[in-house]
Amino acid sequence: MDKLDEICRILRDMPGDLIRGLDINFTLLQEVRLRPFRPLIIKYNGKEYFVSVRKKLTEDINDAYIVTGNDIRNTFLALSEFSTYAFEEEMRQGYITIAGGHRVGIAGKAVIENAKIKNMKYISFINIRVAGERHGCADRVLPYLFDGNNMFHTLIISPPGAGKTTLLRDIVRQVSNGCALVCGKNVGVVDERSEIAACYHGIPQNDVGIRTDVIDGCPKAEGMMMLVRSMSPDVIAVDEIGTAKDMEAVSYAMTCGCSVIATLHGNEIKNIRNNKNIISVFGRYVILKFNEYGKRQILIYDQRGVQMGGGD
Amino acid sequence: MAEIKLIGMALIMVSAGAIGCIFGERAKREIKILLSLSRCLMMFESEIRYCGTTVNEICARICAGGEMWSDFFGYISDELADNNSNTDIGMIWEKGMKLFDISKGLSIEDKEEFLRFGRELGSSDRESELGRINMYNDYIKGRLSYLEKNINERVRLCRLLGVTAGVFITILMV
Repeated sequence: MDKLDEICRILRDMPGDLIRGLDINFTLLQEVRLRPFRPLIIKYNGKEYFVSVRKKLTEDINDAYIVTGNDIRNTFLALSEFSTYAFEEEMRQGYITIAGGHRVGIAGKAVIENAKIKNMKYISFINIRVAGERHGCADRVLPYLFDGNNMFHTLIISPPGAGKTTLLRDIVRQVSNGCALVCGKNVGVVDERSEIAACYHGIPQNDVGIRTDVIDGCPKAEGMMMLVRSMSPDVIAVDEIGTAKDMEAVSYAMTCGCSVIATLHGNEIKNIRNNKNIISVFGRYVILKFNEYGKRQILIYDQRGVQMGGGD
Repeated sequence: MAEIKLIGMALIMVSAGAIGCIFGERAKREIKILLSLSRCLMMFESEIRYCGTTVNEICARICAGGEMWSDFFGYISDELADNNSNTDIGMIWEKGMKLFDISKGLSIEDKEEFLRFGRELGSSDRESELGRINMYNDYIKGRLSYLEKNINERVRLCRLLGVTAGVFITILMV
């Protein structure tokens, strides 16, 4: 199934027909947005366009197809595979992963119970974010992460949107498959939000390597414990750690002889250094950030916080 | 001439009796169909309760399970998996009921209930879904206990009516 099929599988009625009929290179499609009684918008090759009823991209809003409530309702039904109950947790989180690893963000009216989101109703806004992997983005980082055949416990730190999950995924893939620096290792991935492997019906939609086992949708702390006990991984990868429970599980995995690669929201190594739990256990810190010109920077630090390498 | 008349009378009586027997068997089959449907509903309940499995997958599993409803649920599963389909589950369910004989073995009331169940399937949260499945299964159990209690009388009545009708037609012809 190619990208177009994967997207059109959930886009019903007119939006599906229009997108299918577009004469564009679908590998450059980034987003499809549906809002009730608003134009059908796509992000293509970094630029936003309206989709016209003549199955063409346009910048003229008067020419755009206007999405109906029925389009959104039918798209949501197809997205949830006519089984709303099966996606309750995903709906609480605000997104559903579909075949191909594409993430569909949903918004509507939140149903609150005891100050927590219980469910979402009147789903009216749908944003299909087309998945894209970056093979090789970890090439510059990998040489710093190994001590012979052993991998350092590594923490990837970046603000949202700087690419830490993409980097983590590529590290996982290369460590699992084996590369010039290291032979292939068994990798366990705890993918609480289905962002790393993007499992659909239990099958990773992203390439996470040939020796990778994935626990999908499982809380990080429990997932790490389960992986250590059941799959005997050499390396455990986990996204967005933060709570004391997560750190406890990370420590447990480390004491069991597994190398841990994790990500964390943050900006600077000095901010992370304030957290004694974190600084004392990881051997390498990879900081991703944007410089003042908006260019992505990768900085690599050792356990003491001394910069080892990196740059734009 | 008399022999031909006798043969004709015998044929009428045998056919009318046979029709009565067929109706009797149909009553028995209705029970089997409802029993099988009840088992399918139990599968729906356990899959939704413990695994949160989608309707499509549950239907595919029922299809593989060799129940009397296998073909019907296989059709539903195929249609739901069809990415070109612009229909909803209610329309697919209704079409399936028209296509497959199994649902024709149900009474009109049971057919209506089955269609209502299909139209609402998968449209709400887990608790409501399970509640609806349990409610429908209770309805089927009620129907089953009623039918099982009266099945012998119904079968006997059908056969008797068949034979009696045969005799009546024969008398009329004589």
